[in-house]
Amino acid sequence: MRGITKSYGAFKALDAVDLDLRRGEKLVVCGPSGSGKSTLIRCINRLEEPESGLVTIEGQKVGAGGAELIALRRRVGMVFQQFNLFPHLPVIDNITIGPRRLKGMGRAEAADRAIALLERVKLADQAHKLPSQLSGGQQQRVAIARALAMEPVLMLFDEPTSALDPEMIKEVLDVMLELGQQGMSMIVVTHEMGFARRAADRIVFMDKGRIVAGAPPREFFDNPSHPRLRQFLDNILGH
Amino acid sequence: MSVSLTSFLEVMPPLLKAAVVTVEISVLSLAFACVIAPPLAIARMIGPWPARFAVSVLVEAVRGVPPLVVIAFVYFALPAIGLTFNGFWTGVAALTVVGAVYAVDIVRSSIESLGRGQKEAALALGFSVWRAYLEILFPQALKRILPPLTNELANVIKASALLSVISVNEISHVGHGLIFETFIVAEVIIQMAILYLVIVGCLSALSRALERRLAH
Amino acid sequence: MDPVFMFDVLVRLIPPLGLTIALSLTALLIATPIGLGLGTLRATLRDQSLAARILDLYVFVVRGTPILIQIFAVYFLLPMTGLKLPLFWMGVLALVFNSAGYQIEIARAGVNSVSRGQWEAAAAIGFNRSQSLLTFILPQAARRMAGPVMNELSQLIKASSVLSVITLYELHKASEAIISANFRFVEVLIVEGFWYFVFVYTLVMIARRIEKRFSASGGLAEQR
Repeated sequence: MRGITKSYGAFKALDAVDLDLRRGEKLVVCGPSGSGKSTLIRCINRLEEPESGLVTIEGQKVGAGGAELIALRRRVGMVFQQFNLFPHLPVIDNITIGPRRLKGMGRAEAADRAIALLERVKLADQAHKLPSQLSGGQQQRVAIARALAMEPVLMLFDEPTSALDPEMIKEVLDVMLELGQQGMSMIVVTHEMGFARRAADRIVFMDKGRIVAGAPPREFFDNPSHPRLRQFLDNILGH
Repeated sequence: MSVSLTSFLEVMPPLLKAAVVTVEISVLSLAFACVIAPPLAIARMIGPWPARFAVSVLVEAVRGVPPLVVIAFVYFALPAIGLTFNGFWTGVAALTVVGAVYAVDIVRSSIESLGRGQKEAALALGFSVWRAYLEILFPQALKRILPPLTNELANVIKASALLSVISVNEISHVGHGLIFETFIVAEVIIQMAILYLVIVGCLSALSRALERRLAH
Repeated sequence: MDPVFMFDVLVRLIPPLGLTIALSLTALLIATPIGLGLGTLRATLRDQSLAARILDLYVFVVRGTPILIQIFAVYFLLPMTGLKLPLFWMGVLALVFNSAGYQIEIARAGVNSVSRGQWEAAAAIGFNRSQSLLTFILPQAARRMAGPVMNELSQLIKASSVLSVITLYELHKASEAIISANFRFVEVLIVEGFWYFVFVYTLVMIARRIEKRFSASGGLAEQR
């Protein structure tokens, strides 16, 4: 992405941000709240409309709307902070609704694949429950399976563990870690620095709508280049 | 003022017949209203601006004036555009308009109460905006639509009494006629009131039962 | 559409609009204190008490029957009891009967929506029930009643149109008369609708302003 700018009134949420991601790369975006990290990934699939700038995925420009945008969204998976599962559908239908309605996949095939995905997130036994009957961690893993069902080339995670109780964070991060090891391209907005250290190929730090630092984990943590980043790491990692 | 059982029974057959008309008109009108309300509501939320504007004007205009004005308008307008219905179907048309604009708001506020996340999740999966509303948001909103819709059914039944001004043979029109034909007054009025209470009560109970079944 | 004709209708409908305003406001001024008072009373009564049952029956009948039937009842039944009222007051009576029923329900729901904890907290610091009601419960309930009462106000104005059936020459009756003279229903009904709109909108604006003043000063409690 090139020169992405987005403001809310006078507040500049993103200020001409440039960012590149290689295929299979796992990128963690961190930064203080209000720094623009969520806005950044929401601009990728245009849940937020940037004022200016360009997003390209596999050489294809992401347009402002219409069929192209919809086609693109089908290839970019997104996981939300609040899970946003469809509460009226059982877990399995949450996963199959995309392939069936949007790709015209048959019921049986979609169900088979959904079960396989549920096994991957270790929830095969919960297929016929409603989302409200699951814990937050389980719901978030279903949300990951739902996004994977569309066979995305890129997964976006918008603070996937921020709404979870501490004991459930690990089960979600484990699934994400495994996903990364299988070669999925991922952009993860998170405060989980342990996850960033283990899973990320690269970490970028945002402040006031700009990317102020970016480096592989070891360099990022051990040798922070920017004073604002040093302060952030001090705060978040404790003493 | 005295009430006699003989008079009460004497006016019962015509009033019961009229009660059937009241039920038919109310149920048909609400059914038609329910069919046209969701597309209108969604058009109002995400349609192109001329559609949004047109639906908003229609809804605000119909809600802002007494139902009698809407009934008069439909009564005069249908023949003026070449549609000649009998009283019954004119009444259904008028009540459908009244019911639909309220249903539009019920649908809209139910969908809006779902919160932003549901819409975003559907969009992120790759649903178009229209399909997200029709296939993801609207089915979820159904559960929240039913309770206010039960209420709306009662309102439509009560509004159907106003069709007496265009001579539809429902309870109020027949009852009013009976008063002047038979000079039986109190028995007719009391019986009309009872009939409405029974109809409103039964249909509301029925629709609440339906609500419960759909909730599971 | 003929603007000259519409302007003519606009002017000719002013006196009937005056009657609509008089009927609605008179009914409103009588029905609101009665309805909200009885509704508050109902909320403090035990469900099994006789007074509660009578009030519930009244509300049930008002909400379960069309306003037209209630108007018939006043118009046809009242004279049979020997009570002779002028037409205007018959109309007001029918509207009051109707609106008070709805407002009882509004007030009851408003008072009941204040959590039991508020009653208990008031009792715990030594207030008796009526003191608690006036000091703590009603100010909170009043805010929740404001919206529904405003809605009831516009319902009442719209309901007043049904008084046309007992030949009260109010806005709707007058419009019908003009239509039957020349059949130009589109223009006449638009103008009629316009007047209803203006009336309802003006009252809602005034009500909002009053509401704002209340909430700005922190509700009823601190006003005394």
